[in-house]
Amino acid sequence: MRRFWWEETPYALYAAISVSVLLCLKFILFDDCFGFDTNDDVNHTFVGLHVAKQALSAGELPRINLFNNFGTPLIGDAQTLPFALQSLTYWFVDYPLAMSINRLLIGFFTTLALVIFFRQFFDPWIAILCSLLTLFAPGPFWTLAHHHYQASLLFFTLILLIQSSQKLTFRWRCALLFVCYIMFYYSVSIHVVSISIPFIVGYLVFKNNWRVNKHVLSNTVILILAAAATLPATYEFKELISVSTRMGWSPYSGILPTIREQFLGLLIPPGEWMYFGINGHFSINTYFSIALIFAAIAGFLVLLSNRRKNTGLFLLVFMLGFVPATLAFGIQFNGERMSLFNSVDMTRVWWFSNMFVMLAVGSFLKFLCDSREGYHGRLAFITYSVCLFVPVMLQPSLAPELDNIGEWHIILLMLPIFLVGLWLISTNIKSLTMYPRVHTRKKTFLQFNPAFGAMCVAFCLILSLVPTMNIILGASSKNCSVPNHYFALSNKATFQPNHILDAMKPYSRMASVISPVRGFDLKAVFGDVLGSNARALVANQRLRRIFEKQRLIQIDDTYFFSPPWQFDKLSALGIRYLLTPGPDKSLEKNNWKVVSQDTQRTGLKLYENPDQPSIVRYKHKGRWLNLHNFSLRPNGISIELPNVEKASLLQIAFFNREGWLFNVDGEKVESYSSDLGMIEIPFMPDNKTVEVVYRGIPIPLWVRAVFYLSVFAFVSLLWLGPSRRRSDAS
Amino acid sequence: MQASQTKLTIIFLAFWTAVVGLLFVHTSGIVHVPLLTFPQARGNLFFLQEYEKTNILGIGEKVIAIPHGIPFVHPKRVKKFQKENIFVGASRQEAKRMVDAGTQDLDEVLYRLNIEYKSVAFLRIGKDIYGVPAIDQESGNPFPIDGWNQYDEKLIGASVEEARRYMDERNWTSN
Repeated sequence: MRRFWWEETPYALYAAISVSVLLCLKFILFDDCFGFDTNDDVNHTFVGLHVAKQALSAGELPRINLFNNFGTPLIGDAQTLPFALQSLTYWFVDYPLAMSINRLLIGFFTTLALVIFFRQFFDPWIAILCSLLTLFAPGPFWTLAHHHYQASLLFFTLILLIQSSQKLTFRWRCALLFVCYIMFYYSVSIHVVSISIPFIVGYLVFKNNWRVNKHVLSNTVILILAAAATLPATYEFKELISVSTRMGWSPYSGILPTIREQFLGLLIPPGEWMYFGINGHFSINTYFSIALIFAAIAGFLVLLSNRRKNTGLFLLVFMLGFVPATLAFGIQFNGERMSLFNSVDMTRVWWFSNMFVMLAVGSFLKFLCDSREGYHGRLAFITYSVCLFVPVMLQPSLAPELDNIGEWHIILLMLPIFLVGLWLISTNIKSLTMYPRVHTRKKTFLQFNPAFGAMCVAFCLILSLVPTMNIILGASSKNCSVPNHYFALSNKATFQPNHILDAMKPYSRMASVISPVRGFDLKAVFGDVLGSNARALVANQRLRRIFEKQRLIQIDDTYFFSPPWQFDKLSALGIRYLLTPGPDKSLEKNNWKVVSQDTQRTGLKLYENPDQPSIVRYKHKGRWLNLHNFSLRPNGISIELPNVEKASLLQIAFFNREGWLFNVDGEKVESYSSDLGMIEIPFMPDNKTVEVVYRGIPIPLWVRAVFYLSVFAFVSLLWLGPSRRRSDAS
Repeated sequence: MQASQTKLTIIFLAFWTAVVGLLFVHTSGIVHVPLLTFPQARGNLFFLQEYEKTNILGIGEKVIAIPHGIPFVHPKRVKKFQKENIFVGASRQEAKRMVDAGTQDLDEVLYRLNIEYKSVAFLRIGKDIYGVPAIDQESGNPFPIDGWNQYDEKLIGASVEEARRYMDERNWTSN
């Protein structure tokens, strides 16, 4: 096995730094430009972490975001990840800057980890190339922008490296692996973690040629212990997602309708030639490029022919590279009938299988470089060049839909054949038929040829990354004012226009009559205003059904409140403000006043409910009266009850979901749900205070037992592990 | 590290640096690199109606009539369109005429005049001028016009001038 020598460190560091610099492209070039996405990052990560910080600062676990959609759980929300490693940055700097720093650091360390990984198999420059190809594959590169995905390759690679380390003692390896698994789980979306598990389990098995040795066993035991230790969180997530509006939602299938389009999408980014309003990551997600695919296939053939000599590498490429990549392709585009997969994006399998497919690419380059294979290497390179050139010739007849693609694709496909032509001109054609030419001591151009072909292929592969980088980084817009996936101006991270948020009273509730993707309801938290529309992975199905049945909402990217207005119900939900995209005559006829507006740019109008409802109210003599003596705390609300003459009913405008704990004067009580699903608590004249706290989904005893047992087992394993036994014996 | 490996690594990193540098230069606007312009396909596929066991769809400037049971065919695959009896017209009504006639080759078809006025494209059949909502180049979709459905043709005059007057009098505006 090759080892990473310290004299190679500067080159690896250079590659890692260049990746970080590239990830900060517009951050460096344009003023007030930061690296964040105006959708998931702003609407979810910044909002969720803001609430999480408040809870943690108060010494509580961040269990619920009261400001989102009548209370949305936080721990089960895979887009917040309050305990992620990358969440630390948000404690020290503003959120847009924190995200920019995270991308820079994660890009840097991921590149380094990947280089060390590939260096086990290849020469330094091939290792660096494979690292770049893995990191800048559209899937991982696109999602490096997102808080809940960006650390996936980093932890995955670290785990593989620790697993296979020969230098670490048993105790160190177990401890590091356990910590890495836990950090992986809490730093990356659970869906991605679960996809990575087969790769993590299979890596050593296949690398060791199907041998299950003590390393494999100990690694598997640690994985199981880590899974057990995170079982409470997994259980909570499972309970929340099973009742979420996301179940059965299938946005990932049918994007590329037939196998033809699916195949072409591998060769050229779909956004350049496909209709159906492809946008977002679907415009680039499936792109691998012809150059990469042919290099991978060529590498696979090289490994296949040498499989007896290097079975482990062959198995890694085949079982962890090609097989899962092909399966994921089939399921992604044709799996809408499979309920287990139809709400998930199966191309995420490629994030991990790519690493092993790149082993094939690296093997091909190694084959080309190997001076002992001079003749075969040259032949392979010429064949590869011709294979790249043929599609260019056949495209007009075979794929007329690719007429208008970028010229860059054509140039990179023609580059190798062009270089072959140059090579043939500059060297003697006769020399190509001389085999072997290994004993000459004279330095001729031919002695460099093996690497020349490999370098040409490498250049081609790097050039094939450019369309991905161009689209994802938004290079062609040449500014930061048009927000794109990777960069935006700092003000896009906040509720805009600001003066509209300032016009709303803190701890009151608003609803925007606008698609939730704009994030007004979510970003209202920065002004301590509670939002009503739904946009979260764990938005509750039951609540949506209630609102839908009452005809209060329009379904669009989850849902938002919309006319025709039912004013009594809006007041019952505590909705004091409505943010509309323009004038609303129905509201104006019913005495809703415009308290703020933005006529210049957006046309937004903020209407105030004449009832000025509070999120807390109580029943008095048959009428509902607002109650303002309350304080919101992390995970709950404390209310000072009014003086009443007889038994009364308190209503709190939070969704009465499982997990709330209700206390009246310190004693636990039962609650009820209103017609609209809100919390209702009866109270007596002598009651003084009500405390409502969200404790999360109740975790069953057996889950807690598994957690404690796993921690105990891990500690025991470390204590009684082989190192200690050897030292005891001596 | 062997000298040859060092050399190869440096060459490779130099190339990579050049690519990164190119992206910086292009993004900054200092130099416009035409090769780094990757055209993005524009326009959504709109389902307009079902007619005589045919789905009438709009995409960009075209209206296509696809017989039931035929899977998606990319609009640029002209030969495939002919093979599958998929007709391409310039308006919804023209597509229906093609379906009625059972052929794309009608005696009279709408010809684009390359004139757009008030978000309406002018087309000609014989001596008559028809209008169809023009395509917004930004989105690739027809401009939304009050009271005028996307892809619908309207007879707007016997000459271009008359058509312009018709547009002025009706005050057609897009949203």
